[in-house]
Amino acid sequence: MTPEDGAPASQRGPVSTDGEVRRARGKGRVLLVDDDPDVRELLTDQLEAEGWSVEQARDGREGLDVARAGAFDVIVLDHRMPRMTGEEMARALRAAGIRTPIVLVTADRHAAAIARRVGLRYWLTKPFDMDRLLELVRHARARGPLPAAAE
Amino acid sequence: MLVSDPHEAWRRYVSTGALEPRLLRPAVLHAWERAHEGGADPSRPRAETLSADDTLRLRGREERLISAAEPYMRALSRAAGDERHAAMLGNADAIVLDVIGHPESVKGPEAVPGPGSLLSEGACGSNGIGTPLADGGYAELVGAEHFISGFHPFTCQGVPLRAPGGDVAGVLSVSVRRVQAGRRLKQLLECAVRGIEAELLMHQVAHEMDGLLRTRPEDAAQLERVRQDVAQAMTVGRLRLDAAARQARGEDIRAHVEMLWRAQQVFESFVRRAEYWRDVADETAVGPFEPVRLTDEVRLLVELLGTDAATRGAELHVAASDDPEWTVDRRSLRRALFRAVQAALDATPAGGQVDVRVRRSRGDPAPRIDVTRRDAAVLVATVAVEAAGR
Repeated sequence: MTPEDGAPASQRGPVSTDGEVRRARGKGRVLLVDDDPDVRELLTDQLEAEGWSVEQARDGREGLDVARAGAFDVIVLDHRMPRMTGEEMARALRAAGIRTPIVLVTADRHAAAIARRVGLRYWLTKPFDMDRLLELVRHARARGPLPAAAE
Repeated sequence: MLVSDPHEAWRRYVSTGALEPRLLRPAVLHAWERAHEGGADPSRPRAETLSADDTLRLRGREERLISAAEPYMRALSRAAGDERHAAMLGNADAIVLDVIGHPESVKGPEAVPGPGSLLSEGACGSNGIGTPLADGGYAELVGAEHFISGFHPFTCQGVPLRAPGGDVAGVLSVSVRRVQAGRRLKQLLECAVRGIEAELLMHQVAHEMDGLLRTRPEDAAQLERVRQDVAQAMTVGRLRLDAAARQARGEDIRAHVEMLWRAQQVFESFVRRAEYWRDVADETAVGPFEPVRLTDEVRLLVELLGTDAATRGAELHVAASDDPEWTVDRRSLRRALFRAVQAALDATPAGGQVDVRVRRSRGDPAPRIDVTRRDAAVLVATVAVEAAGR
């Protein structure tokens, strides 16, 4: 069962990735994929302060593994990363039938074109504001997964 | 002995026109003297304001400054929390461009002057917008230190903003409805100003690059990658300042100060990177010859390209060297060094390492910089430094 089926991930009981019951409560579960440890730390702090449960991955390949292993309400995905870019990870997720909403974060001038290429509704251009990111994450969570036909 | 009593000083000034140096802090006295000479009226309840149409036009002309400042004004507002406050942005003529803050302070009966209000010292004396511009630095006005009575319920702190060329671009200020200046707000304000100045620089450099890259499509991809890394640095600075603002009302002062300090470091590093990037991208820029420590230049380049290298799965390493200063054309040196290191990175597979070392052989008139692929033990490039002297 993929996250787009039925209720949002956060309402379908706790998910365990390490044998412990994770904090699958509050506003929902976010997977944060970014190669910059500062960004991961700062975004995680703020998302958790807002009531989101956050898991991290350091690049696209790791992000893909974590996304496949757990159910997330929203994925916040950096674009330019070692080993696997955000765009490649998004394609791989969709190919695997995982339709979790993705917020693509990039400093690329062609952010909108990249997002459209992969069929993503949400993107944010760097440098960005925490408020704007939180707004997009809330919005993406509320709208839920994109139907397969829409892509 | 100075016994600051601004309320008494204001009362005497209004009734006699006399300035009382003993009752005012020197910075405030100077501001009052300027206001007196400018003919400001201390009994004025509020500031003069432009018409709605003129205000709209002014905001349109200053759109870049307004959008650069907006996230930082929101961070200041967040730091002020629930108390009545307003973060204000003024232009270089002390006209208010934008106000963000507590609803009572923005729209209520005790609202601070809104967009279009003229807050130069000549118009309404000492205040958190006009005085920093007149003084050229941080200024704070507590309660009755404000020249006009309408501002007495507030404490205002302001810092001028500088455009990339060094000219004054405007002023950032925060006002709270209490008669006491906040030290944490001051630190946050100063850091926010550095952030806004960095945003203005980034915008200008990106604009210049658009023109340059059209003439050099072969370098566009490399320079665009570096631009993205510079924007990434800016993201980290903004997020740190935002986190510091959220911590400002908490009890962990050390965490707040640490976060603020790290934000400041990011903005300073950003300015160095942006300037380096500009020197590298502009093929036509030469000179002047200036004293340069070569290892510092190499370190800066490694900092600039560190993310690009990491994205390729490679490592960049600068070999420390105790080289003296040389007089060189810094811009030409930066371009040559950038090309050499990029060539080495292009040739290095994931998991490899590129070493950059400054060296000078006995008898050589000037040093050279070697760029080596450590994984293959191959010297990829040597940059001969054309030095005009030591």
